[in-house]
Amino acid sequence: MNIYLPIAELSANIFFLAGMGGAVGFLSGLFGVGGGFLLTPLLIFSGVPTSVAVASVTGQVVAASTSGALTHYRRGGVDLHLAAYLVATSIVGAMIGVAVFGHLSKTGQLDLFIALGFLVLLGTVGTLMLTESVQSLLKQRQGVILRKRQPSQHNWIHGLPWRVRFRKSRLYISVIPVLVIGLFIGFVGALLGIGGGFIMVPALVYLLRVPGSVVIGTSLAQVVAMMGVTTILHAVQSQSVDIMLALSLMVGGTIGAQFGASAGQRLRGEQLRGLLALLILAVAIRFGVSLVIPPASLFSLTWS
Amino acid sequence: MKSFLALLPFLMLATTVRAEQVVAAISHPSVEISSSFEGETLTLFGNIEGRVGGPSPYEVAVVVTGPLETVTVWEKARFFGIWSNTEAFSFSSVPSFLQILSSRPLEQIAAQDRLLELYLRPEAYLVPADGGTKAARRYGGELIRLMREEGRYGLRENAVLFLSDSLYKARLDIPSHASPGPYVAQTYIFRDGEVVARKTDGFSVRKVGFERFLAQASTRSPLIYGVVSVLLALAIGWLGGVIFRR
Repeated sequence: MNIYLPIAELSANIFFLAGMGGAVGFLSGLFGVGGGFLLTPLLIFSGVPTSVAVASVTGQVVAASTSGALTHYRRGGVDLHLAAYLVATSIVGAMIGVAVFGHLSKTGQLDLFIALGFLVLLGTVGTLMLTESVQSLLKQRQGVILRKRQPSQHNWIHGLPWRVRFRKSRLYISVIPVLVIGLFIGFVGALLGIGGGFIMVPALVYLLRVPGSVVIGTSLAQVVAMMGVTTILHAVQSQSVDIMLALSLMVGGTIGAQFGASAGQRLRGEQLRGLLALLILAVAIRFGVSLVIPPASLFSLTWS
Repeated sequence: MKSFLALLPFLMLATTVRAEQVVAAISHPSVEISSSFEGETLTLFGNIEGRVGGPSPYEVAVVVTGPLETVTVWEKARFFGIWSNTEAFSFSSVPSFLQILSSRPLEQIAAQDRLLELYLRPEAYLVPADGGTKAARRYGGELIRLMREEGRYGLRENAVLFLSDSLYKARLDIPSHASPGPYVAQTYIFRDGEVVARKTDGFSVRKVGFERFLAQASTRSPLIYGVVSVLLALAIGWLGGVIFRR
């Protein structure tokens, strides 16, 4: 059964879209990530115009993160104070990202920069995650008991000026790194159509030393607010949010995430991280290959 | 020259007797894009009236064009090992859809120059009459090739079928990714390489119902469209959490 996507101006199979949303939702439930980094590339590879794919997935990420954010909020797992600081600069970052997005799409370089962005970002994160999880798996096999890094340890980042007390995170730290992280995630999220949870969570844990109990909830709450604003920015600036596309993805994604979450409980943390790292690397390699192999056609068209 | 002299009596006859006329119509006055739109097939048909019958048969060529757009052709080149768009050439007023349907191979119907004059060649829309610059020809050729691959441009030289000496019909496929807007079907009736009758018809491709509402909302009030999209996403996310909560 086909459905007409009024903004993308093409007709697509609704089961294909919902299935894709479901598959990515399953993985996002399994690994506890938003899934935008998989969904945007998949849509681009299946022929949806890049601008429509990015803008519509942004809307989908809002839906995918909402139920998680609410669940964590009820359990007291959201540091609203910290989230507010992150959201504030991430909105500035998103505005810059959307402006850059518009400029790149006018000058014909959008596809290139999106591919480069995904390659660098996913390549780095995937490599780091893979080495970390392989190391910990090997050590476990050798019978070494892992000593978890103390989250209360301080580093140079905590010594910067303008310190603020975040009660829920039990932190008294400079707001500069918080604001910089927000700005970066906002920019990257708007440009690539991803929530950026897979950057935000490590940044909060390793840079700011946010305790594990509030990391995921705070990150999810930040993603909902940031991607909500980014969706509106895309709708106003590039008018490329296809609500029918986003809805089809949301329905599949919401259902898939539930099955993913229950499947995830049967796997160990290190195994999960290793698998997620492989997945992230696979997407990065796919983008890398598309950049270096000679394209099927040297010529392409854009409409204005 | 000899053949011209041989034709002369007939030509004189043609001017004294009533000239040919074509009565043409399209099966749909408009193509409506609704949520289940997967493309549409139209039938163009017509009847040649007047001094019908003669030494050589009529030939029909129809050119159907969609709304005009500005299209940029990008050319990729290797730059530090990475393929990126380096050259660009823009064409303004390019039809977003172009189908040329005829009853015989076009070169058998009329001379190349005449076909170009009548816009029965895709190149006619892109390159100025004097041939244009080398770049215009090169990128124009690529534009036509890419549009063909996307199913937007096409040439079907056996699409027009004669049901009798004067009655013809042709099938026209509108793909699901056709741009909404006004479409024009220009019909030419040829005999002996010359146009003896012509007619212009139009139809529109437009979004209807909910699809039309969404497309208009996204351009006319983008802020509200964006806010509603986000509210919808929040609602679905919340609902998903409620339904599946264990």
